[in-house]
Amino acid sequence: MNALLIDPSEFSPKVILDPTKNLFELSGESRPENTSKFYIPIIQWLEQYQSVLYWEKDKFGHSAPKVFEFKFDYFNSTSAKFIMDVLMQLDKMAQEGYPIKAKWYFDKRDEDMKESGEEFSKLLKKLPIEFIEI
Amino acid sequence: MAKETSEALEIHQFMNDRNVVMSFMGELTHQVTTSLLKNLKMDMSMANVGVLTQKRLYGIIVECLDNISKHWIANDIEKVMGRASPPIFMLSRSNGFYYIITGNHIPSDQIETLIKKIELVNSLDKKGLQEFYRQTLAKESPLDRDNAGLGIIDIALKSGNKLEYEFRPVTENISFYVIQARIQI
Repeated sequence: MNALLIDPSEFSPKVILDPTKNLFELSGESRPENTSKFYIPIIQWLEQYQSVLYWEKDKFGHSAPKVFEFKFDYFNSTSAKFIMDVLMQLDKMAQEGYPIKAKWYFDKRDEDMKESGEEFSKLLKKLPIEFIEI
Repeated sequence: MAKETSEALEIHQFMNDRNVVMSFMGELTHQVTTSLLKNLKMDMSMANVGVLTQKRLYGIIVECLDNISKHWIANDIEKVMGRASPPIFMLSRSNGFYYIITGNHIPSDQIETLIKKIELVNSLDKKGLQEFYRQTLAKESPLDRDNAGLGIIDIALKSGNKLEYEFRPVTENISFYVIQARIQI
């Protein structure tokens, strides 16, 4: 499956979804001009990726651990809904039994970013989220 | 002195007296917002504001400006009033607070819903707001995405103070809506 790589801008985050390198990251600032146009391809990519995981497990009997890293400086409320969708998608994979976890990074001076991550995690069923202060 | 120049001096004096640090009247496109936010970041780092307050103020302003661009009814206004009447954004600093004020025209039939939303967030404490934020996040369907729901809760959470608002009827169907959030420095 092809990687999905998006360069960051002043108002949209950097996206790395690279199965070959086993790197998955969303980072930076998120208040895109058209939020759904930005996030829908990411969510669609993740939906497709779930079938890759299925195939991997079927072929090798197991799926390698995946870590999705979230390193936001800022996201607006419209982005929050889509970030929730991304996490929900990962949660679905975790519920299917794939070894997936998320890392939520936050500036140690920014308690709000930590709390936002905690609010998200309360809405998830299975996905483990590790909170990392930087 | 021409009338216009002395009026400009008066407007400047008026804003200066009210400690306005930034103001903008005009079409709030994404590009304009980005440029205002860039200036704001520079101003805040120069003004020795703590990182958390900087981030909160930044977040409040983004949500306020987003709200205007989502709800602005430019064409309707021009039709009814016979001229353009763009929204306004103002940031001032006084008595240990930043004040964020936006004003824009809205259809008067939205007033009731808006008052309900603002009064609801004003009635909640931090814990209540977080709970409400979570509920809204969980239930919002993709179709509602552009409606102000989370935005106003986010503003209230980041502000830590009650929101002030006012509606002034302009015509039978259109009102001018002003909302103010403040945050302690």
